[in-house]
Amino acid sequence: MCGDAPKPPSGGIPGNPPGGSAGGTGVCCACPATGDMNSNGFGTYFSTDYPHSNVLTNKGKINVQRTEEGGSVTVTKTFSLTYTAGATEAANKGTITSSISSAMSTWTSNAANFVIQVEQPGCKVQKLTMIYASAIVASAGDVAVSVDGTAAPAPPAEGLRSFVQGGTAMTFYTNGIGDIPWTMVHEIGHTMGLPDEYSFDRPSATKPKVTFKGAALPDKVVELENSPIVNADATKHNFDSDDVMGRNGNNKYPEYLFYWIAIEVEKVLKAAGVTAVVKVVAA
Amino acid sequence: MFSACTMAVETIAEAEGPGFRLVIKASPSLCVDPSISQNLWDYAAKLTLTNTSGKPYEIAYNTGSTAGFSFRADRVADARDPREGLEYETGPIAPERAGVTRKTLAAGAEEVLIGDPRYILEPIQLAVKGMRVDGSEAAPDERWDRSFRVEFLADIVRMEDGVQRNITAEMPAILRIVVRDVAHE
Repeated sequence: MCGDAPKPPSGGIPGNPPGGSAGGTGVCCACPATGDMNSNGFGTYFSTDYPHSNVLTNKGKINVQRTEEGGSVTVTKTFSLTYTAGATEAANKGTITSSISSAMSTWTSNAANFVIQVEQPGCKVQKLTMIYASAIVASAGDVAVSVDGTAAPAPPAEGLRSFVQGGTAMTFYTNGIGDIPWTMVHEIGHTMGLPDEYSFDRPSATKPKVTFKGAALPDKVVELENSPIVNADATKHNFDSDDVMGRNGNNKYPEYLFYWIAIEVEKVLKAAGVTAVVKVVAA
Repeated sequence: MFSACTMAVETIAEAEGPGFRLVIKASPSLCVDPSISQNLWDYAAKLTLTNTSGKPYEIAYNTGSTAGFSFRADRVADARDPREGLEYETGPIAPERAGVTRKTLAAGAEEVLIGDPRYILEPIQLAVKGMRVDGSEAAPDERWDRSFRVEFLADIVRMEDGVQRNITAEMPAILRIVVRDVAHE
């Protein structure tokens, strides 16, 4: 006798299912994918033909969870807080924390009108819901927030408005003008690499354009509209859009404001060895 | 340094042209205590336009949220190295807070424009953080006593005999910011 007797077939499928994110011999349709985001929105997500800050870094984490035909993509940002000009942790942390949390919830609820569609060869089409999450950390957050207690200027001068520089530094005024929740939603948009959709006091009547990169969709060119904001000089022109990244108080969230998530999903899937067509579609 | 810092409004820049004189008044120094909530707005720049043409003319300028279109700090830079500067940005504008003032300015009359006083915030923030405009650290000898070059811009509509001739001028000034070193007192 030489060797062992032949073993009967196991009944299992030949080959091993992919054990990790990078593949294996089969197709993994439901492998999760996670990663860090560190993209400059200017250039990666959008471009403009009007003057605009050319650094809007979107830092954070992305977590893609897929089921056979569904799943979710969660983008999480951490915020670290410092206090100045009379603002203190004891007096102001609650306000800033709830403002950030509320703004993230607003983005999540408006994202519910759309899904991230993943078309991976060999798998069923998956529609992922989008979730925005945040956490306050002691230091080195994705966004460094300076909570500022500067007194507001008296009318008719414009009030204080919280703002974001470079996508990763936010100044939050505790004595900001009345619509703080809207302002926070808009400014959180900048931390996600989204542009301002306005351009004022321009010498030309030609409407400025912002182009949103569409991942697997064609790029979306948005032409800013003539603004209802009057200019004292009739030879100058004001433009803005009617979505949340445009005129103060606007609350539209068109699909192109979520294109960046498709870009990041495509990127994190690719890093996990998955090539897929990723795009934003109506829910 | 901080204990010797004083604030007083005075003329910091002037310009003249055909039929007009422009004067910017502000405190050349701001004394900033980062441990308290200060109200420094009374020391920010205001522009006075005087009609020197000898006859009345119509003027129009933006007020409220759009005040900065007519009188603003267009650029802020480190006085030691003004090559790199921060450009003025308006932020989103609420239509209900934007206004236009139109009036006839009599010969010899003055008009005061408040403009957008928020230009002081960026240099204050840089001074408190000890940062230069280019993002590098301020030199030790200027850590608590900084000087910035602020470039003011005036652009006021002037209508005379049905012809629009804007009153425009660029007026640089130095803004000194002295910060209280709270941690080392």
